[in-house]
Amino acid sequence: MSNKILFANKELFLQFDGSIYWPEKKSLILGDLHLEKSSYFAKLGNFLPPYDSIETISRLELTLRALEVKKIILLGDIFHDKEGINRLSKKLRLYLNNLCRSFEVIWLVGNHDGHIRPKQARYLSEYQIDNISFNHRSLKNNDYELSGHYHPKATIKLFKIKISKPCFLVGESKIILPAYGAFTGGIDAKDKIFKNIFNNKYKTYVLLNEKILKVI
Amino acid sequence: MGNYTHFKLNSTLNDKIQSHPLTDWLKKKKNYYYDYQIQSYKSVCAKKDILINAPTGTGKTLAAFITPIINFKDDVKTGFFTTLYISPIKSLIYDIKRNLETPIQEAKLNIKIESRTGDTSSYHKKKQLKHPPNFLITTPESFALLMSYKNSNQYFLGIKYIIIDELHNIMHTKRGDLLALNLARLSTFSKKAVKIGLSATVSNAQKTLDYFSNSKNKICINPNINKDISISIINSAKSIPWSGHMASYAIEDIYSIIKNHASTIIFVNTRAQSEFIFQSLWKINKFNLNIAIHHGSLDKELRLKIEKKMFKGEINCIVATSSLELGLDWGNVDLVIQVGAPKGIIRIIQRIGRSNHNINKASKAILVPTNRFEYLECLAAKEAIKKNKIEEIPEKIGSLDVLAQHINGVACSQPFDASDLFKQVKKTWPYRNLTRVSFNSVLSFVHNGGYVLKNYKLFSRLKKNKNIFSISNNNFIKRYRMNLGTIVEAEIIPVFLKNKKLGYIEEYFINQLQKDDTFLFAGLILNFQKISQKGVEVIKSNGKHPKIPSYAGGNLPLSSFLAKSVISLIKNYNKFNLPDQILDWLSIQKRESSLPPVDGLLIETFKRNRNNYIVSYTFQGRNANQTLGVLIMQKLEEYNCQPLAFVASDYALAVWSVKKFKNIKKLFNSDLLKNNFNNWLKNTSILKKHFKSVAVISGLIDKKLPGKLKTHKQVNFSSNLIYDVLEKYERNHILIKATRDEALNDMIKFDKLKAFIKKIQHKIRHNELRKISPFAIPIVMEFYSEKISHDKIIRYETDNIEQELIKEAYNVE
Repeated sequence: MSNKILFANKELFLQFDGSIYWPEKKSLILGDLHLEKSSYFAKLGNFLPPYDSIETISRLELTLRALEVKKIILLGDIFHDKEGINRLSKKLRLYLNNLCRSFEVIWLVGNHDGHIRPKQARYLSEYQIDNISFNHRSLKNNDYELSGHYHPKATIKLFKIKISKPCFLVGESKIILPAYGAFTGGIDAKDKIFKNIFNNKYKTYVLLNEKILKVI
Repeated sequence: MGNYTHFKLNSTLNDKIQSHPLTDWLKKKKNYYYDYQIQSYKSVCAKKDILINAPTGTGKTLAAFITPIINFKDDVKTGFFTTLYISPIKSLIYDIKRNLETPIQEAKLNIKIESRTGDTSSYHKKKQLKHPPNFLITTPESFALLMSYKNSNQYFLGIKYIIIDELHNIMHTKRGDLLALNLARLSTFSKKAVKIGLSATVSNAQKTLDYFSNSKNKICINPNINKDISISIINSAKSIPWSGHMASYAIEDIYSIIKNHASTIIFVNTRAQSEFIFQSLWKINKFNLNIAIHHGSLDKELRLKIEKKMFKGEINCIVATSSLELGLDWGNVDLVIQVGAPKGIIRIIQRIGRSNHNINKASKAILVPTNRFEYLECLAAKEAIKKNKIEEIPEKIGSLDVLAQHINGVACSQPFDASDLFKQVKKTWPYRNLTRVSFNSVLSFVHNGGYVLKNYKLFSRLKKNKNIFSISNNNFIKRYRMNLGTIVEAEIIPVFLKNKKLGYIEEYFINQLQKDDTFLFAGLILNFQKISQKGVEVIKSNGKHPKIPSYAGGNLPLSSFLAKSVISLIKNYNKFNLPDQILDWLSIQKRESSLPPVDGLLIETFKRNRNNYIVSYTFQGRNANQTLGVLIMQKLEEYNCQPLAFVASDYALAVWSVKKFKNIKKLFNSDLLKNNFNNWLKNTSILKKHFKSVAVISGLIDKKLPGKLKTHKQVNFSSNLIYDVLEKYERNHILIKATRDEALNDMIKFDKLKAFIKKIQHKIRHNELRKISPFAIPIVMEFYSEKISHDKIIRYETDNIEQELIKEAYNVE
């Protein structure tokens, strides 16, 4: 299940896994992955379950199988820290290399990433298709833009129980994607930061298990 | 008072006591030892572990310290540090120290006493490590910290006595698990130390003794002192409310009672109640009485100031939550008022014991029920106390997250052999049935995460050399100390009025507020401004209708014993002298429906406003009823009855649906806890809630320090996400097991429900009614009061609903 939106006069699909699909360009856009976050914390003595990278990548694989994709745009913070890529298991590293061979992968640099990356990936600090630009962190201008970095999440009430889930924030000229990684926390959708970025005008689309809920 | 003992002592011991300056000091004060204090001396001298099981205010402290004081001169020859005293309550620690210092100074005993808690300065702590006092007075957490130091075996080597106070408060809790583990370890280095346990009156003293002592040589000492208690239920001209918990009906009665007493403590069950009562009393304070407030989330300085004033007798009345209920020795309090249901006998006796905290005077207490079922509960408690009946503390087996913390602590202190540590852990009561397999899983979690598919071998917290484990890096010691403890608080943030810190408030509550919303806190009506780096910023408000803060942990569990007592009281209601309104309520219930059976279950069904109601009088406590409610909703869904809502109280549970569920007697069958339950557990957030505390206690993620923003290095993502991934990839991991066990037992009360359903399955009395019954009014009203704010307009509407319900139930036209 996905939600179709019209943005910069293009049809984009907000996917329930947190990615955006742009059919016209056969492109899949992903927010922050933060791979190997668990092993980063293990170094500090917090032995988090070492299954976050596999979880994130399996989710991506499922989405890729379901859609026709040629290009993958990663909006930065692909690894949680500069050495993260070296701690990735052999299997996953192989998968990542294959991914970069089979697809055109745009590897935008984030504030967490280091310089090590798969050879075939295109390593850039910003990227543009038509009139839409892609950044890790939203820039202060009025261009059409897709970005990540902030990991927005929203709290909703279902049957008396409050739950907090990642969400898309969609304004007239900007979209902020939720983090794609399995262990990523976030900033509340109602936070001042977002009010400033969007000039108070934005909609929230919350990711539920298998659907997206638009919060009014 | 010349209560000379008749307890036989041999001449050596007798001489020792008679010739001791403490004895002279007591005599000068026209006092002497009680028999049981002498008995305690005799037993401890004979190296017996003892439990002293007595009400507060009966000289327990002296009974515990008599041996360490009288034998001090001999004891100190083989080690300067002779006595370790542990109490779970911090405020009690200062109190004990003060109480001991008087005789020690006046009898010139030359014993050095020091306390050590989280509040002790780090300079002083360091000094204490080099030069321990003779008597060290501390908390279970500070004790655990001491045990994690490298030389702890040397530090505690020579101690002779270990005193553990307020056992009833700590046993069968996670704090109790931690203490038991550390005591077991301590006894490996100070083998000769005698353990002295103190507890309020409990129903099974032997079990309490076994909890902290596995010595063969041990004895319970029961002073056989029954402190007189005068207890009554408030006599108000106004009618007792049908539902709600705020006791606003009785405020004027309470005020006139406190006016006629020198010093009163008003105990309440939740911090929200304390704020409300405090505020309401000040509104009618025509005589300018000194009324104060005291609860755990007030700022420490504010609290100490109030305690000091109270001690000096400058306060007429203090409104308090459980933060004040234990041990504090304020002789001048002459009345205790309990607002709200007692919930348990041990708790209420403890609270009542605060008044006339002295063995020779009767404690005086007045109970103020806040609604009708609570009236019955108050009466049941009163009867139980009269007959000296007390409930048992529900047992709990040792938690695996606490064990993980302990193993980490042991490693910080010294290398250990896994098999030896396992044997040592098995010696504690909570972990007596621990299997080696579980122990190994916990150990491997502490070692390097204990995950099956991928191990963090590079980052191991412990070094392993054959069977010997030791800490791999000093940074882990620092982190262990920062995270020590078993109390995981809800996330709280400080509240600031200009630059003055008023205390801490739960983050989730503040998140519901918008700018200029008002709420009660620290006895003030405050106007919410914003959350900044500092915390919550507020200004004083002139508003009259604040939103009342609701706090997590406000719901005290109803003890099963008291619940049973309420049912049997209802059955025999005509034997009591009840106020007319309660009498009517019960007799009309009996006429129009029936009274709940003592050994079975009453279910009423009726139709109201086109909805079909099912009300079950389970008396299982709120948590268990909450679980039942969700399960029944699910079942009704399965049968396409279109369930709309449910509401649970301690006593009953109401569910309503669009379509009628026909087979009521099959509602509570064993299915309910099988299919429906597993389904529900998967989709509930309850496991995740428990996982959070398990993750913090076991050391998986870091504790959030109160009021401090997380630093970069702290783990700042939600434990929910970790739970989801761990559950998906490794559902047999020890932390998932620990979470499940804990949630089933604690929140969901699984075993309790299973036993309950089995018991009542074939003893269901179903009354199909044409309208609501008198007993159903409170539970149905609860639904409205849950949703309704204290806005005047809506208040008026609830009054209408209540009137309507009463008219129906009582057959009034």
